[in-house]
Parts: sequence; structure tokens; C-alpha cells
Amino acid sequence: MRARPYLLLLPALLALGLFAAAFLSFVTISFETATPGTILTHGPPTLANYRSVLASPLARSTALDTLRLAALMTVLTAVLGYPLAYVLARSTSRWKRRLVLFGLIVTFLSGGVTRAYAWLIILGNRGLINQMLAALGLPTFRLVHNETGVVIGVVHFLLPFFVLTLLAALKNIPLSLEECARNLGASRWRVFWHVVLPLSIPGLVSAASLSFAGALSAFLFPELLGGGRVHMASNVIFETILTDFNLPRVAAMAGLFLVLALVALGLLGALERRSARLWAGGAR
Amino acid sequence: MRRGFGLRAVSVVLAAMTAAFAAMPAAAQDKKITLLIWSSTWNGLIKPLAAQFTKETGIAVDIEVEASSMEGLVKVQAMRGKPTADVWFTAQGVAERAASDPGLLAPMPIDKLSNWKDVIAGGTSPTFAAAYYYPFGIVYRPDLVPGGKISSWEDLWGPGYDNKLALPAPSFFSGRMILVSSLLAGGSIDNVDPGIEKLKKIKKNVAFWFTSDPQARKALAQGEVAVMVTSSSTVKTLADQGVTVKMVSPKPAPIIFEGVTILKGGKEDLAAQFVNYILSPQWQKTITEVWNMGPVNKNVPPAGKFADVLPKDGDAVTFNETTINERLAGWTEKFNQAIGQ
Repeated sequence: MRARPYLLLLPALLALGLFAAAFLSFVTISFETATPGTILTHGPPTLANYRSVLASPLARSTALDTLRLAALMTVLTAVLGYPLAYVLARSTSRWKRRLVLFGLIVTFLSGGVTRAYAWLIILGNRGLINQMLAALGLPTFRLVHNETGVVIGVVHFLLPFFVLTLLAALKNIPLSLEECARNLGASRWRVFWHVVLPLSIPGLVSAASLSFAGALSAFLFPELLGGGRVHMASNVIFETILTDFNLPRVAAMAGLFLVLALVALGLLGALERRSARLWAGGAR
Repeated sequence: MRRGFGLRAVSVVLAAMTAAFAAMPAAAQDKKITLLIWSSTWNGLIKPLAAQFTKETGIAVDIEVEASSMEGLVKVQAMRGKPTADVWFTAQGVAERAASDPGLLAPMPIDKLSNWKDVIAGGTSPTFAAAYYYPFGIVYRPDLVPGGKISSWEDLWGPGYDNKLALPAPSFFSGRMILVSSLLAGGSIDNVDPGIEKLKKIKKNVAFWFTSDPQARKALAQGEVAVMVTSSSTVKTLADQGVTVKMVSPKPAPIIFEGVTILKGGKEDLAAQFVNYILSPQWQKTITEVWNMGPVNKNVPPAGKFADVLPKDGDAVTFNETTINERLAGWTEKFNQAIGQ
């Protein structure tokens, strides 16, 4: 009988084992050497691939660009997503909540490729926005095939994740606290600023961490909306596979980007714990 | 008792069904091959030919899709030893790279390929048979380019093309855009730095560097861009959609072979029959007339429309695929540093 609960864990352990084995194989390859001009690899184990990636100006600039763009996307997602989550959590208007929820669910359910092509239609040289600007006699802009297009596409992708994560945190803040503050004469804005926002910071950091992780691993939108100019980690790894076929070096590159992402996420995790202690009484 | 009997009965039936299913695929698989192929090539060219092939040989044809030759190589590598495809459509240079792994490609059974002897020079290797060739050139919308005409590569660097070009990224066409730019700038395959410097000067005119043919074709069809640097089949694909485009293959005009390899997997004989059909005069005629590509069977003349886009005598160039395979990653890294915003 006692063994049964552990038996139930078996499928999950098998799945984890499979992932771990695949990852281990990847790590092993990163210490091998590629035979030039071929797709073959050979030993003995070496750190040359890691040295080569660390010495690569493109890898370094890609790492910095990825962190910079992921941070920008996270901030924009938070700025746009917080009000939406707040409306969902606190609005007394049913139609407002339904409208926001409908918009998020449609975004959530539509495929990434569909959304990317939709943004191409809206932001393109002859897209809706530029056509409107041209019709008004105004100059047109390059809104896609650059960082602008990628940031818009990724933020749109991240919004539902951010909002739904934050929504749970906002719903957990007792309404009675806001009512108390209001009864004591605080304005709506003061209640939000001094009660709701501080108490929602741990949830905000959680939602931001999730968004940051999603932004760090963005592939589709930089690929379709970046026009070959926006180099984020996943895209550079993919392109390197296609042009180099040096799997050991690509594995080392992916490993180093992963370490960087884990460090960044670790910092966010520490921030999340600290914010929970500071603003939510250490409840988290 | 009844329960036990029921379980036994179910077991017997399941065992019988398993045995039957195990036998059925074996019989069906004997007469089926799978192509690893680009979706546009399948839909635009091979699909009707495959139906004819099945009718004449009784061999069914199924497909798996690859986005590019390079992605195809990743897939071929991943299914090494037990491929789910039997014939792989790819670019010659990528096939050469794949051939470096003795576990992937089967040697072409030349004695079983009656059309092999008729293939033009440069179109074959021990593990590769070209299906067609094409010039790498400029496809453009006459209604959207200055003066309605493009006559040289240098035109693309000129005024009037701001944000109007879709050029292939280095991973597409195995770095041919870098090589063309290098030859124009006085460089060579051994020194592409002048070419990358020259490409920096075209940045303003480039709307995007594409890694997907359909995406760039769509942009050209919609007027998002006025020019796409690509293969001659694009002219035909867009004409079918009612979009009028022209193509020019100015000097230097790289000639590229694309074709088929046979994957090691036990169906080499069936795959060889398919390869022989591709090289046949009948299929080659369709390839040049319908697909607007160059026929590799020397008994088939290029179709008139294709002949119009061929480079002039002395304008065509070819490159050493081995050198490209060895250096493409380095070129790509330099390119990305120069072109990134």
C-alpha cells in the first residue's frame, strides 16, 4: 500500500528522466569536436566550444540584446497588463470584464503564426497603420522587420500569461482592506497606490518572471517579424545550426544562453521572495 | 469463469488483430515511399507527377515537409538509421554535406537508373541526382520599381529602392547573396569581407532578410516589397496567383542545382525508381515547362520562358560547395554583426 503513491509518480519520473537524458546528451555533445565541413563529431572532451562561443562577438551581443529586449518586453507587458488584470479583478461592470477576458482568450487561443501574420498585415509597409498615415498625408514608418515589430508581437503573446497570473494575486487581496481605507477617507487613487499596489507586488513579480522567461525564449516572433535583423538567443542558435552544423558548438552556445537565462530568472526569483517579505508579510 | 474466459477471448482477438496489422503495413510499405520535400515543390510540381508515378509503378508516394534544405538535413540526421522518408529533396551543397556521414545517404544505383547517363555535367554525384537547376537572380514587380525595369545587381543599391527589397538571409541559398555581393565588390569566395561591407550599404533598401520563401513571395505579391532575390520558380508561382513579375539574372549569376538523394532505410530500390522518373525526359519536360526550372536531362531543351531568365553567356558562375560548407557559419556571423540593427 505504501508503495502506491510512489508508483503514481512513476510516469512523471519517466518523463523527467527522458528530459534529463536528452539534456545530458546535449551537454555531452558540447564537449566534443565537429569534423570541419561534415556533420560528424569526435572526441576527446574539450572546452574549445565554450571558449569559441565566449570569444564570439555575435554571441556576446546576442546575449545582451536578448536580455535587453526581454526586459523591455516584460516592462511593457506589465504596464499594459496590470490595468487589464485590475479591471478583471475589481470592475463591477460585467461587460467590461467579459470584454477584457474575451480579448485575452482570443489572443491565447489564436496560433502564434496567425498572430505574426496578422501583425504583418497591420504593421507592414502597406499595412493598415501605414495606409492610414499615408491617406492623411503623413510620413509612413518601418513598424515591422525590426525590433519594434518583434516587441509588439512578443508583448501581445505574453499579455494573457501576465494578466492571468496577476489576476490570481489581485483576487487574493481582501476587498475589505480597500473598503477600510475608503471608509477612512482615502481616495480611490490613494487606496490603489498605498494598499492594492504594494500587496500585489509579489504577484506582479511572479507574473513578470513568467513573462521574462517567455520573452527570453522567444523564437517565432523574432523569426517572422524581425526581418533577419533582430538576433535573440533562440534565433541565433537556430541559424547557427542551419549554417554551421557544428552541433558541439551550438550545444555549447545553447548551454551558455541557458545559464544566463537561469541566472536572470534566479535574480527575479530572489526579488520575488524579497518583495513577498516586504509587502506581503512574508506570506510567500 | 466467465470473466476469465472473456479476458482470454479479448486477448486472442487483440493478438490476432496485432498480427494482422503487423502484416498489413509490411505489405503496404513494400509499395510506398515517402519524400522529404519542400511544400512548394510538392504542390507546384511533384504532386501530379507522383500520381502518375503511382499509376505506372503501383508505388504510393507520401510526403514529409521541410522548410529548407538545411532544416531537412537536421531532420535527416535526427532520423539517422531509421528514416521515415526514403527520398530527400535538397540542394546540392547540402547533399554533399550529408554525404560526409556514411550512415545517411545510399549510393545512387547507377546501373538501375537508365536516365543517369543523360544528366548534364555537374548534375550528379555518387549520392545525388539533380532534378533541375536555376539561376539565382532578381524577381521584381515592374509596376513597383523605378523605370519598371532592373538590369543589374547594382540597381538594387541605387535610389528608389528604399525598403523595397526582400533578400535571402545567409542560411537561405547557402550564402549566395554574400557571394554575389563579394564578386561585385571585388572579393571572392576566399574573401567575402568586401561583399559584407557592400551589403552594409544596402541596409536601407532592404525591407527584410528572408528565411522563408513563401513569406517573401507573399510580401512581393502584396506589394510589401518590390524585389525578391530568389529562384526562377517564383516567377511561375506568382504568375499562377495572377501577379505579374519579371526576372533577370545579371552577372554574376550563380547557378544552383537542386535534386534528390536516397536515404538509407531499406527502400532504396523503390526510391531509385522514383529518382529515375525524375531524370526521365517526360518529367524533365514538365519541370522546365511547368516549374520554370532548367532541365538536367540533356535531351530536353529549356522551355522558352525559362530560357528568357537564363544568364547570358559568360555571366553564370558556380561555387565550390565544399568551401561554402566549411565557411558559411563564419560568413553568417560576420553578416549578422554587420546587418543587425
